[in-house]
This record gives sequence, C-alpha cells and structure tokens, in this order.
Amino acid sequence: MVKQYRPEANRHDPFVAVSWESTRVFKTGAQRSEKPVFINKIPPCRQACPMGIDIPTAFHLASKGDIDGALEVFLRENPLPGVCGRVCYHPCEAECNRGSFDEPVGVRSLERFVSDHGTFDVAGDGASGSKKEQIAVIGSGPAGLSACYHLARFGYHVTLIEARAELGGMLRYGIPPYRLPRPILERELERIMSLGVHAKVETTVGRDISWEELQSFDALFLSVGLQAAKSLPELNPPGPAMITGLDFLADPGRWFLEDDSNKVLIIGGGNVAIDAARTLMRIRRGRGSNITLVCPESREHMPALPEEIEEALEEGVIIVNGWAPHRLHKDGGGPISLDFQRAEVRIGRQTGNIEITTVGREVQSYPVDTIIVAIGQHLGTQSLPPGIDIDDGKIVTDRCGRASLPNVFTGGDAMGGRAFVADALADGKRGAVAISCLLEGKDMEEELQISGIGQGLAVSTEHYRRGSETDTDALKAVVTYEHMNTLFFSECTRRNPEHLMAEARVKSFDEVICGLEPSAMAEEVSRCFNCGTCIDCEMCLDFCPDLSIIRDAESGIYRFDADYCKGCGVCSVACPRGVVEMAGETS
Amino acid sequence: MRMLLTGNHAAAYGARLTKPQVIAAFPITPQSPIYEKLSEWDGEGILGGRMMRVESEHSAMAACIGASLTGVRTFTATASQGLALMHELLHFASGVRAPIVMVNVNRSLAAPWSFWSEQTDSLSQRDTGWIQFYAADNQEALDTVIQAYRISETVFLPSMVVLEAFYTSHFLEPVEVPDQDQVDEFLPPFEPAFRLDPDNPAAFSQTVTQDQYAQFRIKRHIAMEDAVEVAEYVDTQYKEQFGRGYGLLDCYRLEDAEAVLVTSGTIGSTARVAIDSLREEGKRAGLARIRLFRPFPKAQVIEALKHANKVAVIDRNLSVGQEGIFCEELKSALYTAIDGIPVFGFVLGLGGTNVSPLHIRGVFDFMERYDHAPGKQIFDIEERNG
Repeated sequence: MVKQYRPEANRHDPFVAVSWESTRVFKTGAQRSEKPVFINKIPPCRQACPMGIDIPTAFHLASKGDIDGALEVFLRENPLPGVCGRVCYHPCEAECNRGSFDEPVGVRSLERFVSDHGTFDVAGDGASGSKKEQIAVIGSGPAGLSACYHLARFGYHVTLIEARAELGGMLRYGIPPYRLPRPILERELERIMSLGVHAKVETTVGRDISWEELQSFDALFLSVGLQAAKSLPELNPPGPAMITGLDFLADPGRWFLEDDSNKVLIIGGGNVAIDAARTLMRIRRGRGSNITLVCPESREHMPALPEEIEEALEEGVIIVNGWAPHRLHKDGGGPISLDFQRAEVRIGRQTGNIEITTVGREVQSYPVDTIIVAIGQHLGTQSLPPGIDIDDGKIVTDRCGRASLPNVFTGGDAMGGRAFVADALADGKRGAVAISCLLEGKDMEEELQISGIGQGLAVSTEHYRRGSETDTDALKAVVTYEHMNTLFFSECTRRNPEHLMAEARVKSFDEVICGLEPSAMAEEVSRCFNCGTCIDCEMCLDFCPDLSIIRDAESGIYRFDADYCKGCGVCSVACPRGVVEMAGETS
Repeated sequence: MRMLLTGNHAAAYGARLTKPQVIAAFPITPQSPIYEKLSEWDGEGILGGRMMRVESEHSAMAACIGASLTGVRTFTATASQGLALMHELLHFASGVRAPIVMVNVNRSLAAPWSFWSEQTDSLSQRDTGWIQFYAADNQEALDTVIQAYRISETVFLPSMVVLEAFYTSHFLEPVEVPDQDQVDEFLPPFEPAFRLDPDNPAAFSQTVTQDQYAQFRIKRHIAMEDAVEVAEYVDTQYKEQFGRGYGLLDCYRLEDAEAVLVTSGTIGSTARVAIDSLREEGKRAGLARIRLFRPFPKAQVIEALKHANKVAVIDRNLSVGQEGIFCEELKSALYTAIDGIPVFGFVLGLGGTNVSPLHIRGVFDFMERYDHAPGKQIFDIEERNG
C-alpha cells in the first residue's frame, strides 16, 4: 500500500538521525582548563582537638555500625578515650561546622560511646618492644600516660615511674568519681600497660631512685605535674582548719567534714574548687547549706568549665563571685569569720598571669570553720633533674617540649600548658614524637610541623608513624563551613546525654552524665557532616555530566577520566564535604 | 457499548482502547477532564500503562518522546498555553519520528485571558511536522484517536487530534465505545523503526551535517505527503470494521452543490442544519468539512469543489495580518487547479463566540449577492448584508 517504513528497510538509509557509533571518539577532555582534585582535608573539629583526632572518620565508621573501628580511630591519637569521653572540654564541638547549620555534633558522646561499647587491641600490631631504646617517663598523669602510650606504640621500651601508690595522677587524685568512675580509669590504664609499659609505683625520683641512675635511659619524659598547692599564708591558723583543694579531693573522707554543722568556705573559681564543693556536697549526702564557694572572678570568667559550674549550682552549691579573701576576724566570743573584699581579676599584660586587685572598702564576712583553698598549684619543692632550667615556676622548654638538659623532655602542668586533660595528653604525644625524632636522628621541629594538624598545635602520631603514606598537604588545608555543600543535609536535633537528677546525684558518687543509648547514638552519628572526608557518597560520580569520575574498585580512590572530563566543576560543587576541588590544568 | 460521554471522556476512552504504555500529561482547562479520567483509571488499576505526572507540558512531551523512542505507545493531551509551551518539543517529536498521539482541545490563546474555543493554538503548530485532525463531535474524537495511532505508526509521524473547548470537550453526546478486542484487531502493537535500547546503544538526533539535515527534512516531508493516502486507507479500514468512516473531507449534499461552504470542527456540524434549510428553499448549497488539515488533502479538496461556482470558508481562527488559515490553505490548493473560482473568506466565532445556523445562512446569502469575493476576510456578515 504505502512504502516500507520498517527498520530492516531503513537501517542503511534511516529517516531519523541515529548513530550506533560510540561517542568516545570525541575526546571532550581537550576542552578542559581546570581539573578536579580529590583530596581529604582537615575539619575544624580536628584542628581544634588538642590531639588532632580524626573525628569525621570515627563518625563515618560509627555510622556504619563499626564501633570497634571508630574506637581504633580515637586510639590512634588518644590513649584515654574513656576519660576524654567524660571530662574533655570538647573544643571540637565549639568549632564544629554543623554548629553553623543547626547544633554542633556530640563528639564527646561518641568518644565515650565507642570507649564503652567498642573493643580494640592496641598491642595487636606487634610494634611493642621492637626498638632497643629505653625511655623513662616520670609521673603517671595524663601527660605521662600519653607519652608512655605513644612511645610504646612506636616500639620503645618504656618505664613509668610514679611516686604515689596508684597510677593516674590528677585523673585519679583530682577528678572525682562522679565525673570519672574509677573502673573506666582502670580500663584505660590496663590498655596502656598492655603495650608492655613497665610501671614502678611508690617510687619518688630523688629519694627512692637518683636522677643519676636515670641517666642509663636514652631519654626522659618529665610529667611530674604541679604537686604543691598554692595557699593563703596571710589567713593561716590559728583559727579555722585550712585544707588545700587537692588534698581534700585526694582523700575526702580524711578531713571529718561529713557533719554539715561545720561551716566550709571554698576559695577559688577553677575546676578543683568546683570539684571540692561538689565532693563535699556528696560526703554530706546533699545537705549543702554550709557549702559556699567564693572566688574573685565574675561568673563568666571563672576558669572552671561552664558545665561544671552549672551542675554545681543545680546541686545547691552557693557560688559567690567577685570577692577576694581579706582577713580572718573574731568578734568577742562569737564565731570566727572570714572577711572578703570586692575584687577584680585581670590578666597581666606582661606576665599573662592572673592579677587580682581589690576595689573599694566594701567588706563581706562569712562565718567559717574550715577553709578549702583551691587557687592553683606550683612546682614547690618537687625533685627535678639537677641543673634543669626553671622560670616562673615552670620547667623551661623549647617548642618541641625539650628541657634545658639533653634528652630530657617535659609536658603537662609542670611545663605550664593548659590545665586540661586533653592538653596534657597532647603534650605527652608531642614529647613522644620529639623523643622518637631524637633517637632516630630526625629533625624534630620539621617532623612536628609535617605531622601537625591544620593550622593548630595538634600533632598526629598516626601520621608520624605512617610517614610518607599520607599527603602532608592534606593535613594543613581546613574545610570551613563555606566549603560545604549543605544542600544534602537537613536539620536534626542534637542528642544530648541524660544527667542524673540533682537531688539524687548528690547522695552518691555515681556518674552524673549518662552515656547515650545506642539508638540515640545512632541518630547522633548520622548528624556528622564528615567535613573534608570522602565517605564514598559518590555525589561527584552521580552528578558528573560526562560520566568522567571513576572510582577504582580495589583502592577505592577516585580519579577523573582525562579523556572526557571537560573540567566543568560540577563535581566540586556537588561534593557535600569540600573534598573535590578544581585546580588549574597545568598545576 | 453506547455511552453518554463528553468529548474529553470520549477521547480518553479512545486513548485507553489503544493501550498506551506511557501517558505523560499536565492538566489545563479545558483538557483537564481527559487527564483526570486517565488518572482515575490509573488509580483503579485499569489503565494498563503508566501515568506520568510531570511538571509542565514541555516535560510531558519530552517524556513522551523518550518513551516513544524506546518503542512504547504514548499519549498526551493539552490545550492552548500548554500546547504553546510544548512548541519546541513538537518539532523534536516529528524530527525523531516519534508516533505520539496527542489530543489538543482548541482554546483561545492569551492575551487577553480566555477559555473558549478558537483554533489558533493548534494551527500555530502547523509547521511542526505533526499530522492534524479536526473532529466535529465526540464520536469522531474517539474514532480519530484510534485511527491516528494506526496512521502515525505507519508513517512515523506524531498526530494531533483536535477538539474544541466546551463545544465538544464538555458537551455530552451518545458515543459508541468499541470493544477492546475489536480495537486490538484494528491496531497492532507498536513496533518502532529505531529503538532506543540500552543494550544496543545509539545516539538519537545527534549533530548532523547541513546536507544530512536537508535530507532528513525532505524525508519527513515525503512521509507527511504519504500520510494522506495512509489516512484515507485507515479510515476505510476503520469503516469496514466499526461501521463508521469520515473521509479526509466530510462532504454533505455536495454532489450538485453550486455554493459550497468549507469549514472545520463543530461549525461543520452546525452547517448541516443551515444547508438543509437552504436546500428546502431550493438553493444548491453544500458542505465540505475539512477533517485532515495536515497533511492538507489537496487532491481530495480539488475533487470535492470541482463543480462549485462559489466557495465560502468559515475560519474560527485568524492569522493576524493575513486571513483565516483554512481559507489561505484552500486558496493555495485551488490555485491553478480550478480557474477563477471566487473564495469568500469569513472569520467567525473567534474567542469562542457562537456560530449559529443563522450565521451560516448569512454566509450563503452574502455569497449570493456578489459575483466576486472581496479581497480580504469578512468579520461581520450583518454589516455586509446592510
């Protein structure tokens, strides 16, 4: 009837433009002036972490249910995830990019969770004892423990010398169990000891063992802390009993303060003062009418962590701000009172030290039976290696933590760093890397710089151990919120851990903050943006209009197909995490 | 089965009987009841194919093109602004020779805003390479949808079946709905000439050379010319099987007619009443309603008008600055074929205004008074009468 329109009649003379040839002959890559570069970067949380923990990777593993893997990520950089998961001041959360979106991610909650629910054998990699050098670490607080842990993982033989009967330093004798339950500390100590660290307790250097004897070690790490509490000599008895905060915390039962008729004044605004007040509240089983904390700082300038202050107030501690102790006085046969003067606190412009000045003549008096003084510590008469340089009560060091004596390094409070566990742990880690450099003839400043995280002070021992395996540039570039493509994320409320009710918790030393339940943790881990960390979301691959992004099946590494990538940059815009960037074709 | 249906529902039944596998559409007055009826059947699970609810008419046509290339039968429906939005892809559909069938319900184009019948929307798409049918009533709408698939799938060109806003789209008429097995027998499953097949990859509509482009255009034109013959054949076959045929021109009392009205759509059925009354008065009036506008059935038109002395054309459309579009097309067909026949061009019913039997009488009266047609289109019969 009409002419044939069937395919077989038209294949060689089609009536529609159709081609069965491959378009691969068109090498569109020739149009490219820029190319995508796939490179992981440092998220602000990791830069802020004194230990430089790879937080986004830990979150990614946890989000896939790999709690052991996430624990391993923490343990690469931090020997005490169970401790830090409870007491860290979490600077990571303050810098979290998600904070610009809705609320910061609960990093501390995860650290605690993986420590409580995960298992990982740090001794399993077989490095322990692989090197011949002997190192002595003096003092088993967080700085010393961190040095032991990392040195042992590098393969050195480590001897840990501790003056007290038990290991842990301030972790044991300074942090009350309602913040850090002792079984948690024991578990962490056990993990460090499993690396073959040889501990000698009840050994005071200078008394039980001489500094000369220690010269047989290849290097020393001094983490002796600040063992002498500052006092207020002008208030000395006769009169009320005076106890230092640290002495009180080390053994609260020893001071016979259980009776709430004993009027106690705590002087100081730091964590020790707050801990003393809260501990006293507990040994009095919540009867807090005669527990008052007075400090010269205003509430917002108190050195104690805001969350600690908040919890103390909830528990009924009375905090009086802006007053400095002046004198004790007694009117006739009445009780002894402590007079306070209105005070202001400034940071000395030259010294950087806290300067307290009294203002006006106004005086406030508090009747007192016992004064707990918690206004800081100093080196005191601590035995130190002969000839070591001391300045302003601190051991003098160079930027690598090396003291004025050969092969002697230091960290922690004795070196005058920040008085937080995480910072002490970071000092121990830096000391370990520096000692390793010394013993292996490497340039320690350069190595610390190479292994430094972002623009901050943290050093990655993982990176130091692996050396050339990772790209050092990647450790320096930081992903800001502006680098992120947040279109892929939706708002989600942060899951915060529950706290014991104040009325209940003051009656015991039970842990105040509860860990997140697995279901809540699962929600929280999904909130992490994994900034700067490729988690194989494959948005780049999905959005590439030229099908030119290729994931190597074996290595998992992404690359672009140079023959066809036009350099349009869609992949770099699509990347939610700031991993894909465009670079000049010639670079 | 005999049912009382609106033109929209008749078209929807027609579409369902052809078993389209993909329907992509977007609602627009006065076409929406087609979309709604198909959606209703989809919801009841009796549609058979898949209903794609897209975000615009442009996407609807794009989806139909893609689906059609994979070798499935596709259907869509639109009107007025929706058709205008599709314009780019109408060229594409015919260029890739996708035998899509679309119902367009004529509606006046903005501005100003209006909802009533006028053919300018579909006639504006005259040169897109689509076959165009204009139906006069609801039964014809249903029958033409079925015929259109058979024609389109033979010559590989898309078809537009045109209804009129409200005059057909929303008026109920008794409609004979054919049995499914009868339709299945009439319309074999669609076999594409070239299939978009992931297992045998091909590029469709890739860049071609100037010469290749010219050749594809000419092939498309030849296929369109072939479609006249195919449409005539399909209509004959349809009549054989279902008892209803329309021809490419629907001719009424034309055998001995001296004055012949040429028109399209619903005015064509109204005209029958006027012609009957003129015939009662002894006037030799006749009607040729053009059903197939593209391809324009030149030979059939010439054949139908060969005995006429005068021809009047009523257009419910206007090519602004020219004249009524059917009139223009008719003149083009008649030129040189029938020497010196006067063609009176009337443009009536714009914006959906009513064209009654009295108006049509007026057209014949007008023609009777003049030996020669005026050189331009006539908008107002009364004025000329006076």
